[in-house]
Amino acid sequence: MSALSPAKSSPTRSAGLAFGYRGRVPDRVPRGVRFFAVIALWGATVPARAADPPGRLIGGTSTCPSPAAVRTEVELLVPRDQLNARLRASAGSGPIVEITDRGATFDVAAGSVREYRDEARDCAYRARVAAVFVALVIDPGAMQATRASPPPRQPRAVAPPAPPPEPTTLVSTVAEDPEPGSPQRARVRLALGVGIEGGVGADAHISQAGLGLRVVVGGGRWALAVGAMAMAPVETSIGGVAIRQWRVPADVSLRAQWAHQNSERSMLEPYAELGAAVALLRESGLDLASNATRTSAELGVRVAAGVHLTGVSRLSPFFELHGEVVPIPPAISALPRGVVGHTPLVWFGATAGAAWRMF
Amino acid sequence: MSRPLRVRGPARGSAVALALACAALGASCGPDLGVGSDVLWSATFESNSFSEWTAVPTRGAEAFPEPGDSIVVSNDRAHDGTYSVKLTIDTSVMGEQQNTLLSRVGDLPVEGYYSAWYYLPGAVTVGTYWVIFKFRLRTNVDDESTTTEFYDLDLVNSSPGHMSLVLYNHLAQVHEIPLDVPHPVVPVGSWFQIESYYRNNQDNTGRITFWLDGQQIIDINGHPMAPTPWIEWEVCSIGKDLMPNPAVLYADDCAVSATRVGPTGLIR
Repeated sequence: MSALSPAKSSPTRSAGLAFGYRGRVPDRVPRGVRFFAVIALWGATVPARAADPPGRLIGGTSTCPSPAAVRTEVELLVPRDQLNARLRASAGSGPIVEITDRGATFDVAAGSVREYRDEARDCAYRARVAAVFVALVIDPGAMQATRASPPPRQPRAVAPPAPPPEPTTLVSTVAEDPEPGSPQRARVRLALGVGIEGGVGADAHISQAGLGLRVVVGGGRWALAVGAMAMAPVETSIGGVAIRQWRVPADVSLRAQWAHQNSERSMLEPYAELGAAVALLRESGLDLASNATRTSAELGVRVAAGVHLTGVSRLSPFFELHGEVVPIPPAISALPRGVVGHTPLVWFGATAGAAWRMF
Repeated sequence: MSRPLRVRGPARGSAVALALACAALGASCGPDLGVGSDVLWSATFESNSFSEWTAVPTRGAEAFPEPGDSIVVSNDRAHDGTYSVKLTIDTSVMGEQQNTLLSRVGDLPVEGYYSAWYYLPGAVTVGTYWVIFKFRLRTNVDDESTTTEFYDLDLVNSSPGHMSLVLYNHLAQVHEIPLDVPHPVVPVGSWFQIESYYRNNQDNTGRITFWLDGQQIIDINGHPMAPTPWIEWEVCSIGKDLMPNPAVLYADDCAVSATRVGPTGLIR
């Protein structure tokens, strides 16, 4: 018996995965009434149509999964002529199945409403799960006609309302690969961008630009980010002493990330980071009687927030704002004055570029 | 009742990582990055010698004409560190000029700051003059015989037992030049700094300025200085008719700089 079957009272909680039942969604009850009315009209004589229009049988505002993707999956489970018969029976009414994307969960309303949890937002898999549920509701007999292995992953059905007809087996002929044309979240991402930074302190105001490289590992809510920027040397002044500064900041950060489906082909992935930063500083005097160059490291705390616009391509543009606080900035000194000031206490900047989804 | 604030999760991890990194790097947290120096030359005597003076174009350390005139590196006291130079002149012979001096010659910048610290262990009665800071000039850069005196900064008595300064121009018709700050007090028993800005231009952009412990006491600006860019600078004790005998003066932390040293400046 497949754990996908929504007919059981708690079929998936014991699986130990990130799926399980939650409370019922009450505002779906009227749709259930409409659904059974449509079912009652099955077999009625209506003018035949050559093909069922999109959205006639399965509709809704969801983009993950899309109604079209669910329809495709349903057609793999239920013969087309039977689907068309249901469609003819529903002539004159709206879609009899409605898919709603609620972010980490999605609803399938087909007489009753079933809410599934899928934080990974695997759109293809969602479509398969929804299709199984719809097929069970529409034509359990057809489901019994063929046997196949159930989908390997088991999304958590959140609210089991009235149990639909219970099949004994499930049919799935869907491949394991993600739905073609749908955006995929990266598990390992390599980002290259152009950045600008401004440093502010009691003695210094510095602007600089450079290139940044960042590796992010983790496709779930949390990820580890390691990055560095090579800023171009900049000529500036600290405490009235002209210097050339070369700064290479690097950091190790913990990233919290989310996903928001924009459309079937794009997804916004906002993120926020907090981490430890270290910057290599190379400071050279410019117009002293004898100039010297000194190199040091400065330590700080870095925060960042950004977003990836993920499409079907492995490359996704991103934009990030970041800031860094250096509690003990290095002192700049020149004889005979001694310490003339300190490097900036706070750095802020922005980076834009493209990220490559490696895995 | 307040509860202690606890940092959890990623924030605590980052703080720990930062602390560990700071501990690992040690002194690199907030280091001092010296990007250069405007000090062109300095002498602190910390090598217990005159090597800083003899390694450059100089007349070196001189003391004459009496055997009692001496110039030695001493650890009696120091402005910074352990050593200073002790300039002692024998004032027992009245009417005779006694000389001890350290001199920089020839390679000095046309425009620069000259600084030295002095210590008077006791008040001295100045009968005729007592020069402690001196510029010389040459009318012909290549002819040593044309070297002559130019500006002297002298110690004088503003009142019995109290020391002050006067500026003396050997080329002016009125040699003694009134200071902008009349009778500045030169301390006895503590270190004081004399600094001069000297722009030895031969046109009306010439300038010479003096500070005592950071206070400007005279500024002569917009006048031709020496007839040539050649400069000799002396930290000295050149006196005539001083009492008591001997007259002792200490000097330390001498410097030539492209920017002002000031009382808080570092020369090394």
